[in-house]
Amino acid sequence: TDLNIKPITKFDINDKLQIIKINSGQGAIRNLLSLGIRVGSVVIIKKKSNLRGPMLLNVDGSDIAIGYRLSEKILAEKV
Amino acid sequence: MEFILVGQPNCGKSTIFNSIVGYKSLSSNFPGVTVKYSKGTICQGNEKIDVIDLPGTYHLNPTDQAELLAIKYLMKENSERVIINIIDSSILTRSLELTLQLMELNLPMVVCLNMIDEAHRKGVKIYSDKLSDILGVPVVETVGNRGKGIYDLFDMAYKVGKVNIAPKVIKDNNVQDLIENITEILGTSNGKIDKSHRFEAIKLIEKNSYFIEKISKRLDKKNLDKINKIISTIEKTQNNSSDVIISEVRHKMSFDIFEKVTEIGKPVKRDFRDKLDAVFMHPLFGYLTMGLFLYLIVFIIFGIGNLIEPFFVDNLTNLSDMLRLEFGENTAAYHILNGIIIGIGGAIGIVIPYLIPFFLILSFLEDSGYLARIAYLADNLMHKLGLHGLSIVPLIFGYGCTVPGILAARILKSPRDKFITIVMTTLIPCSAKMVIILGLIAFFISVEAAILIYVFNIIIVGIVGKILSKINPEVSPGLILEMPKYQLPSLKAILVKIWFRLKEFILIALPLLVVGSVILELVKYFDWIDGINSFLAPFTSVVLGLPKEIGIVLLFGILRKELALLLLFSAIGTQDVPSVLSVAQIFSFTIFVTFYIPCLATIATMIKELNLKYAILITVLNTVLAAVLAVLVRFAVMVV
Repeated sequence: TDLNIKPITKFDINDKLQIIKINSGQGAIRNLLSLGIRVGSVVIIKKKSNLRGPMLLNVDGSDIAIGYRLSEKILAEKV
Repeated sequence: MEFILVGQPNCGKSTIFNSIVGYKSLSSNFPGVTVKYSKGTICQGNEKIDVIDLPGTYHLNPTDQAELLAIKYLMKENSERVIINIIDSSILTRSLELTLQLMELNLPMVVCLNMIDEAHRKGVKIYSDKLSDILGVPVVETVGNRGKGIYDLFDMAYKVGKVNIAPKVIKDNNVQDLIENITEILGTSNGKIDKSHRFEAIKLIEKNSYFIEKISKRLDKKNLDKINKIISTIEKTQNNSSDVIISEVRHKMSFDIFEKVTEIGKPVKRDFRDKLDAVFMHPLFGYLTMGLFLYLIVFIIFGIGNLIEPFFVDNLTNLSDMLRLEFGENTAAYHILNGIIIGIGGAIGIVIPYLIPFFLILSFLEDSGYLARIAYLADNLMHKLGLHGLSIVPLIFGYGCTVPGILAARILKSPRDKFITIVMTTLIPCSAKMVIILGLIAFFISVEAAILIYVFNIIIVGIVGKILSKINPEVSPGLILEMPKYQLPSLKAILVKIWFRLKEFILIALPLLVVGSVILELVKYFDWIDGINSFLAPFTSVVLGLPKEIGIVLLFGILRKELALLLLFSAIGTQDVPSVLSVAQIFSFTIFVTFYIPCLATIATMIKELNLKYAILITVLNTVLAAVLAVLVRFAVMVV
């Protein structure tokens, strides 16, 4: 409903985002949770690769690469 | 007593394990599966202690087979065991989430603040005594890759094991009633409450399918319904899934502990490592540097290998000549001994020139953290084949030698990805196959044609990968990979790894190569060559369209592919191949040899890394594929 909430793939490098929703399966949610990517956490986009490659997010000081298809399912807004 | 090392990936666990257990470690499989863990023995306080290095895991709520096996191992009833929880101090909050889960197991435990220097560099001061008070377990600071504090750590683990104190139970008001209510139901239905019930209660709240199934079998319906009702009630009131609720609670607890035990100052200074990723993961320079590195690696493995290998081959030929003089050419003794020498030579000829440099480089890539960058860069490309980025590493190594390629597939976590990648790797032309492609196609036909064969090969490998991915659809959600910090690897840990991997290879490949070589020597001794050629003739002549004398070449080529070219010359009686074979026949031979049965050392490695069944399956598939492609190419060439 909120126009500012978009998949993280739609944001730019260096954008600071708060995660609003993760629309993936249980397994992926668990793996993301344990890496600190959860609803409410704040992440910074460090890198985006061309041609639907993975994204690189900085979460609490560590860099996490996430495949494009999964990134599309993570919704966030700018903070 | 038993020490179990547990920690999140990239926490430096294996470096600590290798530096304390050293070359005596063994890699074991969990029963029935190919998931591996390392085991070793150390002496502490005049006592022999088993040290187990479990696969790295971020949490104790298993989402794959490796994690499930690790948890089952931790839950095994066993009297004296101590958990050594290794933590990357520079990411304390996240690491503590695993620590809190490990404490739920209620086993004696030591927390190891590893990479404490990294935390200091980030400006984080950790008061380990405060942390120890809160958790109720001893905390030891270490710098694993420089060997600092490791002996203190194991000493402490031994003391903890002797006094056998379990960690504190840290309670959180948000979920405490929830956990206790379920624990009580589990306990009363079982006679009395014991410590395992609390752990099971937590796993039920985490919606862990393994535990749900296990407990459903044990519990009656009434109690199960009660538990489900308790869980769904809290889910409704908090409007969230119970596994997320409990994870949030742990996250908050970890953060609170972090705040209590640390003091944040200014980061000491940025060093060059912070800038490496600007180049190594750059959308353009990243690929250029990766290409350069991989080219250099294959070049080094190749270069060193080709430089050293003749030395062994020459000495072996001399030895073989001596034997011939001693026993006479046509004696069984000569042929058997010669077979043994060829077999041992084959193993040495792979191990020293190719495997040692390869393992050195692979260990360096792994321990330095660069491997994860390769996975990131290649993810997009490999995704098109239904695989993940890391799969590119075995394929690249495969151009040097298939054996290290297959061994490199060990870095892949999912058995499916590992299998598909290994099949693809066996089809990549290794340096021995390159000799054939260059020696026949480039030399007698044209360099362009040789390049064409390589391109054709890549297309076929891609198609095979795609088909296999379609047959075994992906279950994993896609790439989720932490980029480890760049580290200068510890030399000792690397040397231990190399020794460990060489030992494994020699144990399985050497017997196979010796037996194979002796059999082929006996074929010569009993003069079965004509018989075998005639036996293979329907295949050699009809399917491949080659003279039947080449049958034996194909058979011997299984031993070592680089022999195939020399054997071909001797079988057709000349080095001037085009005088005997047509262009179509040369193509047919080359294509067949490029794709067919992997060499014996490769088969041995596949048995070790997968199992006998898969090794046979891959061998058969490759041969059928090779025959089909050889026929197609032969007719294509004839038409052109």
